[in-house]
Amino acid sequence: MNDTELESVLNSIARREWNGPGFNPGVERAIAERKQAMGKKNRTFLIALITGASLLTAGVATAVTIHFTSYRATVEIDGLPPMQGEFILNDDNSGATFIADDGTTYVFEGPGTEVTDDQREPSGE
Amino acid sequence: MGVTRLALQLAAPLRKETSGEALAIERARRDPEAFGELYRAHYHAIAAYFLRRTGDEALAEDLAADTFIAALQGLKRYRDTGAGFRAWLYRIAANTASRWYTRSGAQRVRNLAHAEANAGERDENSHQIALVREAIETLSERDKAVLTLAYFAPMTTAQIALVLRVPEGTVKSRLARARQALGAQIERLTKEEGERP
Repeated sequence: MNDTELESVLNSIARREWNGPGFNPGVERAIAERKQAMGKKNRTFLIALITGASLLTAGVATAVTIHFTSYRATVEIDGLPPMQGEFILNDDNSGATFIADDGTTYVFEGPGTEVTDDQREPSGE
Repeated sequence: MGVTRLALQLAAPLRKETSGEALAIERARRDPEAFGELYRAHYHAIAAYFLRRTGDEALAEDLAADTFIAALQGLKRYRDTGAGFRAWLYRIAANTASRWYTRSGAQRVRNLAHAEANAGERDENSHQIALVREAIETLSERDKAVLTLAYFAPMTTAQIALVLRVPEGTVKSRLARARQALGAQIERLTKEEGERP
């Protein structure tokens, strides 16, 4: 194949248009799941705030600090089978620590970190 | 095959983030449902990129889904570098395609590339198209990214520079090198084909 032919083939491929559907059930599902997961997370925070406020009102405490950064999670790391454990986000969300049920600890940080919120579930107060 | 000529077939320039889109991104960060607006606006372009790259409609749908799901999950990390939201999606798409190739292996890519040529014959160059697709997937990640963004997105060298965060001159030289490497791979695959019983 000479240069002209190669150019022609590349352009021929580039001309192919997408005639399939304009939506994707997988993406729609992911959006719905994420929305649900975020709702769950927000509800947990709301319960925490109400609990904190109640403690303050009742004079049981003068200051309440509640950290909701720990979740049960399934984590998949390249080449390893999925692991269940506790997922603890850093305070600034810049990374996380995952403590697998077998006690192994993984620290996620830096540009490669990708936290998939929709797989997390609040582990309870 | 010495290749120095870079005549790119360019479609309309990538849409720079409009204020409407910037607002949609902000909304989507807070409410995943608002991400639907972004995904519907760019789905066609991303699916077409995968279709051109793989030649398989069902696979293109799956890879487009993976791309948008990754974008949804990583939206809080998105920063406009001047290239716009679609350019960011293309970057994710290029990574998604690379992961697919790593998972699938060369033989599957070869089968896929040639299945279209054998079954459809939609184009008189079907066999050559299959050969070129197969050859592209054997290139280095760097060559693949620049070549597929230039031809299958398609983007200008200036846009690719913003996506890959390298100077425009670097894109031009990478593109020239990628074309050369592609020519060499095509030659190798053609020779292999000739030797097959």
